Order: sequence, then structure tokens, then C-alpha cells
Amino acid sequence: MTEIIQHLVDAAGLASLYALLALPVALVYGIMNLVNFAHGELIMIGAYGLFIFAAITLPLAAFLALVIVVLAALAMERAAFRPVRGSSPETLLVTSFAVSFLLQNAALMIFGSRPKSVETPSLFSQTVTIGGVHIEGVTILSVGLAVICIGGLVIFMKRTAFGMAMRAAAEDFTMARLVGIRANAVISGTFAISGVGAGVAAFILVVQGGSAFATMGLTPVIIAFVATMMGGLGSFSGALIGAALLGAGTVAFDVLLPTQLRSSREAFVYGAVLVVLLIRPQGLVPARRERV
Amino acid sequence: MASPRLRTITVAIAIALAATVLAACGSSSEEGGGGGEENGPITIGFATAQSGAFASYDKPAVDGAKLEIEKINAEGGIDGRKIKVVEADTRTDINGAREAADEVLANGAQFMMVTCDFDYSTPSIVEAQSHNVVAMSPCAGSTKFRTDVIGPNGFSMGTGVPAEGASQAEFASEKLKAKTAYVIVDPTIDIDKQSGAAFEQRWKELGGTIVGTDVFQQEDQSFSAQISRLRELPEPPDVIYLASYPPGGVRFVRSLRAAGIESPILAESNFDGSYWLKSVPGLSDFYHTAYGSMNGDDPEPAVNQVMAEYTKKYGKPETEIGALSGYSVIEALKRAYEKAGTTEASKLVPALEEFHNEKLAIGPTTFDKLNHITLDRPVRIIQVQNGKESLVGLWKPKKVPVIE
Amino acid sequence: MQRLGTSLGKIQTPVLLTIVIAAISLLAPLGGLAMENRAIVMLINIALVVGLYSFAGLSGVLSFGHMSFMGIGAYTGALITIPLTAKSALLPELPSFIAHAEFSFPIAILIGGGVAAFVALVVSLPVARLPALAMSLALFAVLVIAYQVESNWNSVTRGRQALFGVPTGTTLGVALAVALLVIFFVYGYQESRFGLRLRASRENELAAAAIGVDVVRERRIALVLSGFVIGVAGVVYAQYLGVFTPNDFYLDVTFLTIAMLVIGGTRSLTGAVIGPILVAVLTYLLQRGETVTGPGLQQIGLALAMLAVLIFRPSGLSLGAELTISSLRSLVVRGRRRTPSAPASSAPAQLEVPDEN
Repeated sequence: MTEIIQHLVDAAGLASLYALLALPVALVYGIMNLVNFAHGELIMIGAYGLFIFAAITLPLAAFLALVIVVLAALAMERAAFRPVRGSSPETLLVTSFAVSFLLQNAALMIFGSRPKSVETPSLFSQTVTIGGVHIEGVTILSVGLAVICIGGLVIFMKRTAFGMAMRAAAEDFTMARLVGIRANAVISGTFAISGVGAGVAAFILVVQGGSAFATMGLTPVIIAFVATMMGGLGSFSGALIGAALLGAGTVAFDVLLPTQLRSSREAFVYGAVLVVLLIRPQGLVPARRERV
Repeated sequence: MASPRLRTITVAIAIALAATVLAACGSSSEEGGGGGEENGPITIGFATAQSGAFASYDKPAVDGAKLEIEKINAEGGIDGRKIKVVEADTRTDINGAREAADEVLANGAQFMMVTCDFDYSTPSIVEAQSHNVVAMSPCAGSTKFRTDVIGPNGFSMGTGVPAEGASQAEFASEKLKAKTAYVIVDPTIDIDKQSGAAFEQRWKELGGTIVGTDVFQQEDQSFSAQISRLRELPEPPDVIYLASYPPGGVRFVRSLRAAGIESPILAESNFDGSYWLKSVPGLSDFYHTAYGSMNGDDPEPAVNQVMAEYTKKYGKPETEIGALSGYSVIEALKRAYEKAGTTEASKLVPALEEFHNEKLAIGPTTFDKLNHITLDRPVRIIQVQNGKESLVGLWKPKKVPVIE
Repeated sequence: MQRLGTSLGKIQTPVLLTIVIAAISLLAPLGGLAMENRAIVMLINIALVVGLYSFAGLSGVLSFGHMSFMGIGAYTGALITIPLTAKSALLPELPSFIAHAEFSFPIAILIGGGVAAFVALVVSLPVARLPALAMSLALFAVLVIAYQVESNWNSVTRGRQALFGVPTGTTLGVALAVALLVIFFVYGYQESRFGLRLRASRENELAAAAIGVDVVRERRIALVLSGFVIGVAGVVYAQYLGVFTPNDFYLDVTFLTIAMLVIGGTRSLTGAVIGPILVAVLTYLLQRGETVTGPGLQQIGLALAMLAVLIFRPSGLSLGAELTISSLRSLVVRGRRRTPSAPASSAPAQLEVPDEN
């Protein structure tokens, strides 16, 4: 029994991290039909931010890194995505692909390929044991931050004028503009929020791994991609469900596969994703309207 | 037809053609190449990674090589021939490795130093081979540098990685008095599989038990499954052999320690250098192999000398592997050239194959007709205690399993 | 010229593209081995990008997964051409029907393409039913799966380690022939009934369906054909490199081919051909520039070029048009009117180099 609970705890930790990765991607897609491949590079920028400011106390470093990621997200939107806004989702996706490639190589040029160590307080590298179940510090951090961020976002979207404008824009962008919502403001705001998400995810990844490197955004963004796709592009709750399933599925395959097949785990995970997608082409929770 | 569109196309094509023509003219004059020329300077081509993941291994190797080249040139060259250097970037890419080799060959390379990995250096070696040029990787550790695998002209100055696995097995069994071991392999790169296999085999020969094996992937976002399996053991293993490399390997160590698993960890020279130590604050009982100690306390004076010269010129390197092995590549070329009297592969290869425990800065070096990499060179064991690195000592493996 | 255009009729675009590509291929060897090899890679890229175009360009559904077919072609082609003795040493646990197979290069090209096409068919059965964007992403999942299988199927692919010892049969001539065949093949498809239906669905999916186009079926056909073409290019690439790893068929090449297609223009065959040519030239120039700026310029320059095209010329440098003789003619006339030496169709003749040897 403790074994099962242990796996559930592990899955919860991973699912929380995945949710923090997937939500911002889903949010941006909802507003402007952009599947942002460069979201991973925002995480990378956040991690390097932590590396640069790590010498100061951690809370301040985390804050400064967050500010940098948000600024980077805004700059990205302004420089690369605004000029192509309104193009087909495929064009937008290709644009983000190019931005991602650009930033990754720029980071390689600036910081080199060797990972940069970031010192984090030992508080997060401890394990709590409750009734035979081990809970890692990172798991507590991931779950805690995910709950805070998702809760905060829900309240923001439901209670503030800006949040309601965002929801309206996600529902029907043209209509939202007609009733006087300013497109630029809404889109910039959404990117800023996605920047916050990337910054938080960067913090967790750095606490977990202790380092920052140029290609670190790649795996997270693929996870975010797949989770949002599985959940239903543009659907907020779908992204959460997709992330939870992907996290749980990864842990499940890791536990259940025999050793010889374990190194092929990813193939099984993505195969399962494909099956889900074939059964429900629009995702588990389809967005409310067909986007053409 | 709207002609602005077509004008774009045509202009584009015209530019492309013009560029091809210009490039064709430009580089056809450069064509020298081959091992033919016997007078004038010896041209060494560095077809190494200046960008991408391997740059951090190759760059110190190039610097180390240049250190020895400058010394040789200051003394009047090898047999009176000075050394000239030409360089090209492989971009840590397989096709890039071929292009870089082509480029240095076109610029007259008569000897080639290639990238620090078997897979990614193979295309360069094949190109070198077709030009009758010898190619040597500074620090690739794969035992596949064999004439029946890669052909006659490819060499590596590195230490075959089974020596590292075997040394760790002997060290843990004799010095740490360990009886049980748990082996975790990250199958992302070939040498980790080889070193894991060598450790396992040597461990069993020494009468130890393997209480479990597991794998993880370099890109994994969480290692909870591997940690759970380790915890499920009736009692923690005496040692954990970890065949991986940073950053994934470092994240794994961090997760292990965070999970309260305190068994000593044994690892390869991939973990050399102190740049990653801050990622696992307060790490203890971690042992990895190395090519030499960077802190001036190496038992071999030659290592300390090279490291001191390197540090003076380029600053302290993040790891010593590249610096030492790059330096020794040029040492080896000098020794072999003095015997062969030429860079031509047909004579230089036999001269290199005569190396038997040849004393180079990197350590005793042996090549033979089959193996073009040293398989039984002593390694250094470096320990990390309370986040600080220190040298344990030199370890000469008594027996190195043959791993293919 | 007008008469030439009429007599060539519908095939003038591929014929003109042939002239351009052949001219480059003939000139390149003058620059020595390095230049010749660059030309080979460029020609293989043309085959890849034209293959990608035959699906993505004609259907309007961008694919992030087509390079999986390149990998399948490369591994298939390599496994059936590595000499038997080398193969048994390299891959001792290979299933016997592959272990004992040894084919000549041309047959390997067809088998490699065929296996890739078959996988494309299997993939297409479910995937072609998806709506456009979901299909793009599902194909991306296919890429990840193919990469993972190649990376872990140790007994057949050697996992993440390089598969080496592949015979290097790809010469400039082979690459040129393959690139040209691919261009004519895809052009033929583009102008056929099937191609027209597919293009109709690209312009307006609902309207095309309304006039009776079975969009799913047309996309399925395109997926299989493009899978074949890219598989063929994969075999040729493997036989050029002689050594490769699963990484060679993953994100970098996916990015690179999409960049080439976008720069050239996704909506015309001409775009799919000039994209790789321009990127080859750009890469060459950037690599020269790296000697001044240090490494990394190449990748950054390529990404910036792609962004610039996306922002300032969203339909690519070809603007979606095909190269034809009548258009060239009007260009020459206009060019003469402006300046006597404007770059035009006669440019290659003016730039001929004196023989240096």
C-alpha cells in the first residue's frame, strides 16, 4: 500500500511540474492561436537569470529572474510575434520555432555548452518521510507552486477586469475587439503571464537539477506541447488534465515496464499520446469553438 | 505573370550561382592537402567542435595542443619543420565533422586532431583516411578505436573507458571494502554503457554482488522511479556505480542525495572538474576517475607541469581532460614523426603502433595493430567530500575487461 | 524564347529548375572536395525539402514529423547495404532476414523509400483524419516516437550510438539524379488531378469538400508520396555520410528543412528548390564570417534569416510563384530597359569561369 501511495506522490510531483509547463502554452494558444515553441527558451532564460543573480540571496534572485523572464516574454511577443499576428497557426508555430532556435544558439554563444551550477538552499534538497512514504522537497515545492499559480490564475481570470478581457478574447478575439478590448494589451498581458509561468518552472527545474544550460528548455516545451495537445488545444482545463495524465503516465510506465524496455519509455508514452489523440482528435477537453 | 515575384526568384538564383562560382574559384586555389608535401611546415588540422555540446571538451584540447606546438616551434620544429595550424568547426554535428575535415584537408592538413567522441569523430576520420592522413581524437574513450572497426588511420589519445570502470571496481572493493554494488547506466552515450559493463564484470570477478541495475535518460525531468527502486532494496548498496555525465548525471546525484540515499557513488571522468559541484551542495562520498589532478598535487610531475603552463596561458581549465590529452596528441605526433620521418599514414601509423607504454604527459600510452586507444592506462581517483574535491591517488587497474 | 516556352509547355518549371541545379552541380567540383560535398548536401536537402513540400506545401498542413521518414529510409537503406561480414560484427542480434540481406545501392534506395512510404501509410490511416493543426502536432508525436525507437532498438539500430560502416555510394552524380527525379516526380504529382484536388483543399477546405474532394484521402495520398520521397532522400543521405545517429533525423534537421521551405516559399515547387540553395549559400557565407566573429554565427544567422522572411515576406522569397520561361522573358526585357547588366536568366553564361586546371 505504501508503495502505491509513494508512486502517487511521485506522479503528483511530476504532474504539477508538467501543469506549470503546459498552462502558459495553452493560455497563449487560446489568445492568439500560437503554439509557442520558444516557451522553453523563456524557462532557459529564467534559469540563467537565477544563475546570474544567485550570488544575492535566493528570494531576491528568484524575483529578479522572474522580472527578466517576463521582460523577455514581452520582448519576444513585440519583436517576433506581433508582426505575424493573425497568420495561420502553422506560420505562428514556425515563427516560434525560429525564435527558439535563435535564443538557444545565442545562449550557447554567451554561456557556452557546459552547464552553469546554481546554488540553492539545502531546504529544498531534503526528504520528508511520513508513514513510510518519502516526499522530496522538490515534490512539495512543485505541488505548492502549482496550486498557488493555478489558483492565482483562476482568481485573476474570474475576478479582475483584465482577466475577464482575456477570457473574452480567448472566446472570440474579433468580437472582443469590437466591444472595445485592446488587443495589444491583452496579448502582452498573456505573454507576461506565460513569462511568470516560465519563471516559476525555471525555479523548480533549477532547484531540482542545480544547473542552467542552453538546451534545457527543449524537453519541458515538448512536454508542454504534448500535454496541451492531448488536453485539447486552447482549453485551460484540458491542459491541466493533459499534464496530469502525462505525468502519471510517465511514472506508470517507469514503474511497470521491465528493465530492458525501460529505456524506451518515451516511445511508450508518446505512443499512448497518439492513441489518445486518435480517439479524440480535438483533445480530451475540446476548446469550445472550432478554430479555423 | 507578376514579374516582381519572378525577379526575386531569378535574382536569388543568380546570387546563388554567382556565389557558387566565387566559392569554387576561391577555394580551388586552396587545394593542397594530403600527406604528400615533405618540406616546409607540417600542417595540423583541428577538425573539432568550436560550438555545440562538445565544444567544452574540444576547446581545452585545442589549447593544450597549441601549447605543445608553440614549444616545438620555439625549439625549431620537428626535424626542422615548424608546425602550422588550420582549424574548422564541426558544430558538434556528424555532417559538420565531415565538412570540417574536408576544409582542413583542403587547407593542406597533413595530420588531423578530431573531436572528443567516437561517433562524432568517425566522419572526420573516414575523410582523413581517404586522404592518407592520420587522425587522432584527444579524449574519446570508446574502445571502438580499433583498426577492424574504424580503419587504420584513426587513433584516440584518451583512456579506454573500461579502464575507468575496472579501476572503480577494484578501488571500491579494496579500499572502500564494499561488497554490494548497484549499477545505474544512462544509455545516452556509448561510453557509459561500456564503462557500466566493465564495472559489472570486474566487480563480479572480484567476488562482489550486483544487487540491482537500472537506467535513466539524460533528459528525464524526474528520477523518482529509479529512487523508489533503490529504496525498495532490503538494505542500501555499499556503492552505486553511476555511468552518466553532466548535466543529467549531476541532477541524478542531486536527486539521490536529496532522497537521503547516502551510499558512496562511483563515477567516470565525465564528472571531472569542480564546475558542477555547486549543483550538489555539501556532496560527500562521491568518487570519480580523472586523467590527472589539476591542483598541482598529481603524482606525475609531467601532469603538474602541463597544467601549470596551461593555467598560465589560458587560465585554469574547467577540467584537465582536454588540456592534457590535446597536449599529448602533439607529443605523440612528434615522437612518431621522428621515427617515421614523414606524416604519410603508411609510415606514421606503424610508428604510432610501436608505442608501448610510451611516456607522454597524459601517462603511458600503448597502441598496437588492433587497438588504437590505450586500454590499461592508470587513472586518478578523485573524491568529493563536503563539496570539496581532492586527489585520492593513482590507480593502476590490475585487469581490464574487454568490452566491445 | 516564347516558342521554347510553348513547346516545353507544362514541364518548363522543372526543366528550368534542372538547369539551375545542374549548373550549380557542375560548377561546384571546381571548388575542390569541400565544395563538392557541400553541393551533395545541398542536393539532398533539395530532395528533402521538395518531399516536405509535396505534403506541407500542397496540402497547407505543416508537418513537424516528416524527418521521421528520413530516419526510416536511412536506417533501412543502411541495414540492407552494409556488407554481410561487417554487419554481423556490428549488429550480432539482427533479425536474420535483415542480417542476410545485401542489396545494391539503387535497389536500397527503392526499398528505403518503400519502407518509409509504408510507415507513412500506416501513420496516415488515423492521422490524416485529424484537423490541420492537430495533424501537425500528431506528426510531431510521430517524430518523437520514431526518434525514441531508433534510439533504443539496440539490436537493429545500435541505439543512440552511431551506425557506421555504411557504404558511401552517394556521389555528386547520384545526388543530382535523385534531386532531379524528385523534382519531376513531385511536379508531376502537383499538376495531376490528385495534386489539384489537394491544392484546392489547401485554398479552402470546406469549399473543396463541397465540390466533392475527399480531403482526408488526398492528404493520405500526399503523406505516402512525401514519405517515399523523404525516405529516398534519407537513404541517399545515409550513403553520403557513412555514419549517422538518430539525432541526425530529429529536431535540427526538422528545423533546417522547415526553415529552407519557409525561406523559399511554402506554396511553390520553385520555392522548395531555391530555399535549400539559398540556405546553402547563406550557411557558407556565415561560416566564413565565423572566422571573424567566432562560432555560433551560422545558426543565429539562419534563425534571423528565417524570422526576417516570416515577418517581411510571409510567402517566402518565391512569393508562391513558379519559375517559367515567359516570366523570365518579361524579366529580361524589363531588366534591359532599366540597366544593361541587370542579373537575369543569362547570368550563368556571364559568370562562366576560366578553367583553372
